[in-house]
Amino acid sequence: MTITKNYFNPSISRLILWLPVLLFLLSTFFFPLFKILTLTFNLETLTNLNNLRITYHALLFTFYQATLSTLLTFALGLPAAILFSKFNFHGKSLLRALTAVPFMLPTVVVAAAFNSIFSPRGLFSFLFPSFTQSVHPSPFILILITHTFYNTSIVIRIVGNAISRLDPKLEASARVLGADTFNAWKDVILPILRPSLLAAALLVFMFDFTSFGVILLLGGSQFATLEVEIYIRALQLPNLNLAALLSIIQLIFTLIFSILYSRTINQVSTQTAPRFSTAKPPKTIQEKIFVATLALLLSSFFFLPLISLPIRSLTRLEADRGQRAEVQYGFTTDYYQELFINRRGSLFYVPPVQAALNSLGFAGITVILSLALGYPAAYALAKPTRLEKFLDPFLMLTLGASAVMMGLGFILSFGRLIASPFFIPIAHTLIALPFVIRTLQPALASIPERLRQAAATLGASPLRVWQTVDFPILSRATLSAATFAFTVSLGEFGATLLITRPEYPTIPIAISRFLSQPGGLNYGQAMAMATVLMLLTTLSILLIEKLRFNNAGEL
Amino acid sequence: MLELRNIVKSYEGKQLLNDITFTVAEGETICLLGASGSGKSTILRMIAGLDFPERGAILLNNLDLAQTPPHLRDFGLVFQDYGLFPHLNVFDNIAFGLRMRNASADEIKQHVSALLEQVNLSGFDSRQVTDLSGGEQQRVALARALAPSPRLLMFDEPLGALDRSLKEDLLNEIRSILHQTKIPAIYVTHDQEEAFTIADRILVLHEGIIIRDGMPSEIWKDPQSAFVAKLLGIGNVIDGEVVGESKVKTTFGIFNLNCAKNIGEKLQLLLTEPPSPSGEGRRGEVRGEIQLTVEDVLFKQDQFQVKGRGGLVIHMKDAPKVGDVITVQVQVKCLS
Repeated sequence: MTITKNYFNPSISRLILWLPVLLFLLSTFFFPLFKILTLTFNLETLTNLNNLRITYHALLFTFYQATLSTLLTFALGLPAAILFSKFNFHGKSLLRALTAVPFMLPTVVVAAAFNSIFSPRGLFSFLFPSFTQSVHPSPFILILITHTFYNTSIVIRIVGNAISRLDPKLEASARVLGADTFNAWKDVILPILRPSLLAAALLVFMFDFTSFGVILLLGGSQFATLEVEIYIRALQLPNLNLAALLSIIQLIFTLIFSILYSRTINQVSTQTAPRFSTAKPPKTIQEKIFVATLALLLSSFFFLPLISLPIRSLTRLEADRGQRAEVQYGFTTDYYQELFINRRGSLFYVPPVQAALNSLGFAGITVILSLALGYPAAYALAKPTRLEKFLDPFLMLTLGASAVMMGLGFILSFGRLIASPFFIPIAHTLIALPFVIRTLQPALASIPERLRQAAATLGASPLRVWQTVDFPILSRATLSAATFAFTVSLGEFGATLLITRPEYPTIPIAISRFLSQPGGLNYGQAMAMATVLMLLTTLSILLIEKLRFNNAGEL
Repeated sequence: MLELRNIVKSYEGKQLLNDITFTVAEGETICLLGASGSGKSTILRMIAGLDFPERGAILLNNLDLAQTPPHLRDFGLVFQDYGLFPHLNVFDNIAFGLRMRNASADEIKQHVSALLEQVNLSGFDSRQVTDLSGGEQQRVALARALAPSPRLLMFDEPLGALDRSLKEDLLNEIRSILHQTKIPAIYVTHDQEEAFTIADRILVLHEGIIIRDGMPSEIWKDPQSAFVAKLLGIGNVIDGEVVGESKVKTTFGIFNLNCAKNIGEKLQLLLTEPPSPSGEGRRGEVRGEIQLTVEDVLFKQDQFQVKGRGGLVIHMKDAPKVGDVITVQVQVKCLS
């Protein structure tokens, strides 16, 4: 029995809660999706051999790069998972946190960071000029490495947790029963770990499969994955039918992977939880070498890009204007100062700092919009009825669509209207909304009805009940959700790239434009802006971590 | 058959096992009794080859096992929380050890169904082990350990997680299986009832050494130390002080005991009820009478447990009243 039931007919009040978010999704997601579907499933699109050929090649290349990326991620992630679940060492929690940082960083920042090390204009080629000329990492290798940088933490989390949950008695039992080390792994440990290995592989593969910013910024449009090909066919070599076909294929694969993933992750049960952590300090020489080598490798792999970016943004590494002969190098704040100047013939009609102001404005609108839409839905989902169980999958469907596809949908649906800058925060809201709802919902669900009833019997009006019971519990979750929406909006690249106008660049768009231009000054400004974005994002992550909903309201 | 010689082992910098020496004879069941954290399980892990002593040796039929990896030792180990493989069903769990020894499919099938019958789980072949009750899981674990016909069986508090009636049933089953198969066994527990039920010989582990090694009846008659008496719940342990030549003062009066201690020294005494009113006191024992104020009376099947002043517990055929002062025949002896 809820108090509100006395005031409203429950089903009507629930529909009212759902109305805003449903209208929003209908107009900004399902209508565009319908547009894409009608473009895809027509005779012209499906019978055009050229379309099919390009689709086939894009699909093949996407699978190829995603497979290689996943393999590389596991090559680093599996030893790392063993390191974190089996061993205790100094700085373990710090290193673990470090490996999780990339996951939250915007693609442009990560792309810029790897660029700052390995590109011809990067620090590496400056420090080891002779070395890089002989073995310069190709853009493709760079893409694989960056994907590894992004997704290793997934393997560490999913597989590492499974390993540390593994009851050490199982291996002991197998050994005593006559299994040598190899057989104990083959017949006992691996079969038990299989669901978590599979789940991690599926998730990593899905992220690599849908990767866009990293591939475009580090490789360029010759690395035509499905995502990149959608972007090319939407803007550069317009063929909207083909773009629609590609994005539907992309969506189908993403949905398949998501379903497979949620099935396997359900099998990752808590079957055998040891009562104590099984992690121990390394004992034997081999263990010590393993821990030391891997900890060093991981810390440099995850720290170098993050530190190289700010260093490069403060380092002059090119010939000064008019002094072509000699390479100047040294400390400089020019790149930051340049952000405030509107140069004639620059990439934008506005000083670059305007991009930062745009981004902040869009992020602000995204926060307000996603909270306004997400709150009622989260309220309804906190006490799910059949209606909610029916509607929830539709809400989460937006997660399956890539940002580039959403951008394409906007182009197809709103045509010239898209010139309005307001569509950018709308796209960002669409992307942030599932996360916002998933942050608010558990907090709302955690408020015990008894608390509200107690307040009511003590004489509190419904408003006072909300003020004294709900609000204190919700304020943390709200701030956390808001920060999440803010961070998503600040870093969003794919959708923005498709619908943005040159007059309203955001930080990620500005970075990508700077990166694609020649010249030390442009490169330096890309580094400076990426550094600023990295700092903003890092601060947001820290805030979210601090606010992480920890059983508030539980009695 | 199995022999442990001067085993030393430390855990997290502290000496856990100081100097452990004992043997297990052919067909013998020994029970290793000790408080939790006393290193009982570590001894089993070392025998199984899952852990290594810092000093000392473990020998099987006079052969040092130091270089033998666990999978070649042919021992069985049963854990308190079963350690069943969650991804395998009952049949495959039991068959695991046979498969590792490359037994034929027919052989495995026959053997497993015989074992299932032996542990009263016939027909459970294809059940998931995660769906079984605690008692059933432990039966599967027992069958799994028995399957490869091990040279030695080890039980690490196997009944610790089960409730009382189930415990008794399973304990009797283990006992009869050990008798049938004549497999030597080491049974680790902190429960004295289990120890007395199953053991041919009891070893009491305390502070890293075996402080008592003997048949259950011997230990019951003469626990020798206050620790063993308390651990096994034998009689009453009371404090005393030597006050003169062969005189020990306690709260229950002065007893004529020669405890080979100097005057003024404190010591502990074992106070028990005499086995029969007229029997001769054994060496070092004296009989006496004490006055006891009854504080509580509990009904215990065929007798009454009487709790008296000073925490003393005795057993009587007829129930006294609370507050009564009764005269009780006791025998007293010195403990080390």
